[in-house]
Amino acid sequence: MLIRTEGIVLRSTPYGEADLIVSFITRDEGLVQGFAKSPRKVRSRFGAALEPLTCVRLGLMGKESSSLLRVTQADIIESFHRLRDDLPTLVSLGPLVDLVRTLLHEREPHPRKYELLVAGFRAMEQNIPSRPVILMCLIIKFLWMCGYGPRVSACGRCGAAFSGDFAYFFPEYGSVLCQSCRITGAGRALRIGQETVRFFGEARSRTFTELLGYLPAEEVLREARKLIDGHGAHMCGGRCRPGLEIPAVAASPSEPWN
Amino acid sequence: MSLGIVENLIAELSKLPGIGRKSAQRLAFFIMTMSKEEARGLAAAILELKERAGFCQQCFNITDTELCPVCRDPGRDASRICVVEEPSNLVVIENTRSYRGLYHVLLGSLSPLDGLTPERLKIRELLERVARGGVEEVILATNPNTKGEATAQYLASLLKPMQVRVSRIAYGLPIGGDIEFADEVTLTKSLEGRREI
Repeated sequence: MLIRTEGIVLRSTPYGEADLIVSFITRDEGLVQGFAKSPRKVRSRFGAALEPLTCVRLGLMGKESSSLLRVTQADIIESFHRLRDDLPTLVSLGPLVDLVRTLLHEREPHPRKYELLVAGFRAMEQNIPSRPVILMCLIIKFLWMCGYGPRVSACGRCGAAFSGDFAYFFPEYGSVLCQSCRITGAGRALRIGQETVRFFGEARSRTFTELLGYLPAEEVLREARKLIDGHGAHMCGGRCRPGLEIPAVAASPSEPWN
Repeated sequence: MSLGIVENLIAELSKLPGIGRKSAQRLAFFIMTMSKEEARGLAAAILELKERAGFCQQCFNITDTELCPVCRDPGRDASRICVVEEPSNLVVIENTRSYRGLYHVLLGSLSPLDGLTPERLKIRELLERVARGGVEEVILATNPNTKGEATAQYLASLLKPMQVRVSRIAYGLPIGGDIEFADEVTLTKSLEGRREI
């Protein structure tokens, strides 16, 4: 069976002397694992097409039931190499890649989620100052599209709308809980302000183009980051690493970051 | 003759990278045609490598002495250190005979999408070497892929404040290749890194 589709390289693992096992999110087949012969050789026909985050036109060959297909063709559509070239951005994309690999299933088509990721990467590549905001909005949109979006505007138990200056988000519930619905043993709560609640609404409803001029306060970003980290870790059963923050590269050898 | 011993050898040789069952079978039958002395020599060389090989105390190249032959050579330019990911990369650069400086082997690379883990690599040892003085240039010759590039960027951020010149090996088209078959990223990088002639 020959499959022709588009995909984004999520991760590649060296195998043998010069081969790679590559995982893709594809438009028509969902998550796919592929085996590529000799892409690590200097004169490989794959070139840079199997580097992480690259959007490629794919040719995959294998049995319908096979969990590992042979990559016969990979032509670059958009390389997104500017995202890879910036180390802090690349590191900050790691948790998103974890989420995609954890929340989606193999061989289930996800064209809308695929389009969302391509649009998000495109916006991040073109707008360096807005990268942290775009990345966070991309994750929020992706979580909502997968049905795992954090509920911040209303209580997750009684549905009462958010009121007051602060709300308390419980990662175990994936939602904020109002005063009367909070019960003992609901787990650790994260306090978020009104502005952060508004930010989640904007992130979900605005397009990436509309988000370009939108710069929330540092405090809002910090709260949103904590919430997404806690929520993502809970949704993925601890398989996602926290760290959506785009870190600065260390200024001196005494302060390495990891 | 029991074929079990041949099967054993084929199974063991198949464990080597790039050796499938067919190649292993070919090698096994070739070993059978070797003289006893030659076969003993091969077996002894493998055992000796496993028993005596270790890492150079200074650059982490593979060696059977405290310092590797490159670090011991007084004719090498000690003001230049070429940083590579694996000892096999060092061998390839040495084969060019166009570099006369010293090396530093990191024994791996950073994986940015899996979180950076610089403590696994010989980065602290490199910084200590540079801090001891006498180094004017560090050449970052990590692989031209995402992991290698991330490692180079990370090292550059640590080395630049130490007042040494930090350079990166050039990107570009392979010699003997044809531009028609080059991918967009390689061509972009080679255009960015063009030089006047």
